[in-house]
Amino acid sequence: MNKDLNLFLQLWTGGFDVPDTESQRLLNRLRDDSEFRSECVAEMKVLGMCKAVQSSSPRWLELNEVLGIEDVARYSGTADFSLDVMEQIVRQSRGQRRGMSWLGRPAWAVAAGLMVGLFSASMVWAYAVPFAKRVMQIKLEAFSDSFEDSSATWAQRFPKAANEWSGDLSRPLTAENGVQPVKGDYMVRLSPVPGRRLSYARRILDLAEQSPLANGQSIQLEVTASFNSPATDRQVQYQIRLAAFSQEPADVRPIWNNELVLFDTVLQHVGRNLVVEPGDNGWQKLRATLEIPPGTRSLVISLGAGMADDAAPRIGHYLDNVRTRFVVAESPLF
Amino acid sequence: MNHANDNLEILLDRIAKGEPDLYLKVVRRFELSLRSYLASQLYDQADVDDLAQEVFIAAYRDLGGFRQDGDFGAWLRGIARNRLLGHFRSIQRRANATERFREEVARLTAAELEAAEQTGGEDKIERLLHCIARLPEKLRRVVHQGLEGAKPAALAEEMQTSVPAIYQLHYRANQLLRDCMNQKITA
Repeated sequence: MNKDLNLFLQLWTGGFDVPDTESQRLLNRLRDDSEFRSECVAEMKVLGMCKAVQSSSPRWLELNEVLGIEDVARYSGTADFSLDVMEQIVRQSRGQRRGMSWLGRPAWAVAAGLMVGLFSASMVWAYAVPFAKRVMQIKLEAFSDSFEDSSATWAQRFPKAANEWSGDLSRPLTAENGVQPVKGDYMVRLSPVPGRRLSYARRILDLAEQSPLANGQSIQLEVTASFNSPATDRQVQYQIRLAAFSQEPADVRPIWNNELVLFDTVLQHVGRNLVVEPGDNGWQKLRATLEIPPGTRSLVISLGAGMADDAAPRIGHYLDNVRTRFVVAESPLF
Repeated sequence: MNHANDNLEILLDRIAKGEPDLYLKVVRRFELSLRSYLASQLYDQADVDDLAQEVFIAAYRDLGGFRQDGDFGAWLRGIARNRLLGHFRSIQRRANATERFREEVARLTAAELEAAEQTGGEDKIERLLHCIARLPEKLRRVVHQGLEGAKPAALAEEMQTSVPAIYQLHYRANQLLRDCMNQKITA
């Protein structure tokens, strides 16, 4: 492989930083040298194919929704989490034939077998067996919300119970300040609050009593949300924070509100911030993922938006299309 | 129209007559090739999957716009190209140097990537999987690991070699994969 192709691939795969002048030189060569361009395209094509065939097939919940297919029963948060997950896995892999007969067993202990069954059924997995270190994954929707219930109202401050929004959310809006919803007909405003730079929408998921994970299994919470702002002349900050607690939902609020206790108590915590430069007032999608530790009872989802600069005037920002998924991963058994 | 398209035509006809669930068959048939196409231009696997879903939804909503004697895969890629441009536009302000580089590469190589997609036949993904399985263990390991982000550095440490050597090994693996797939076409 020639030096430029090597450099191109390192830059293209994000594994290497080079000065702008060097990347510009490569782009110029890509533009002017058809032979070099063909070499690059040949590599990009094989790399893309390898990447796609080695990743698990996604569960496209939104597509199913559009088609009117209830492929995946939604997790309501009221039943036992692990059993709910197992039921969903059973439904997906066995077409509901086995149903409740699995429920008497330790849930995560049988997950491995079900996952192998599920993935063996797919062409990708059947062919991908040679990859001994491959991790199997299933994505299950916890909930999605694009705030389409126009009559909805929410409590302020931190939520006291699971499965409801709480915080600084307005009633659902069709449009405001030139901002239109990114999904559906409605969105919400995160209204400014005196004394706070960011405004928040928060929600707790209750995992109830779950069995411990089996060896080699893990589960993650993945949250994506879209934010927008009418601010055009200053930096805007968007934020997703996810946290896992062993306490039940009603007991999380006093912990969350006391930072000293919070950081001594929280089982796992991640934060993702995005600062948008002035002038970019389009929708911004932000994603964060939290590894859910064993013993987790409550998961806090905190979505924030505000001006990045403390001195900037406080205004409302917009939130839409919140999607949360559980990603159940299992190391292969062979 | 070829035989493959005959079945597709029947499926599309039934979908149009009120059997939307059959669209999942169409999705299954084109999913890997579409995700491969997107993965050849995007870094984040989650973005690839999200965008692929958007493309399938957009295609479903505009099925009437597909000419039944046309190439459905090429039609999907046309939608994907527009979505990709939209995606790049949406991240433009916050894109880092790698993302800006990748966007420019996608723009410069769009025509040739499309031409490359039209070669190899419908079973190229299956052939690729067979060919990966036939790679020498060391090369298979490099292909399995992938080249995204910090993966080459991690693998280089694991294999006690350098990062450029990992890229070189992947390049060698890709050559073997292309040869193997071409042999299977001509066999």
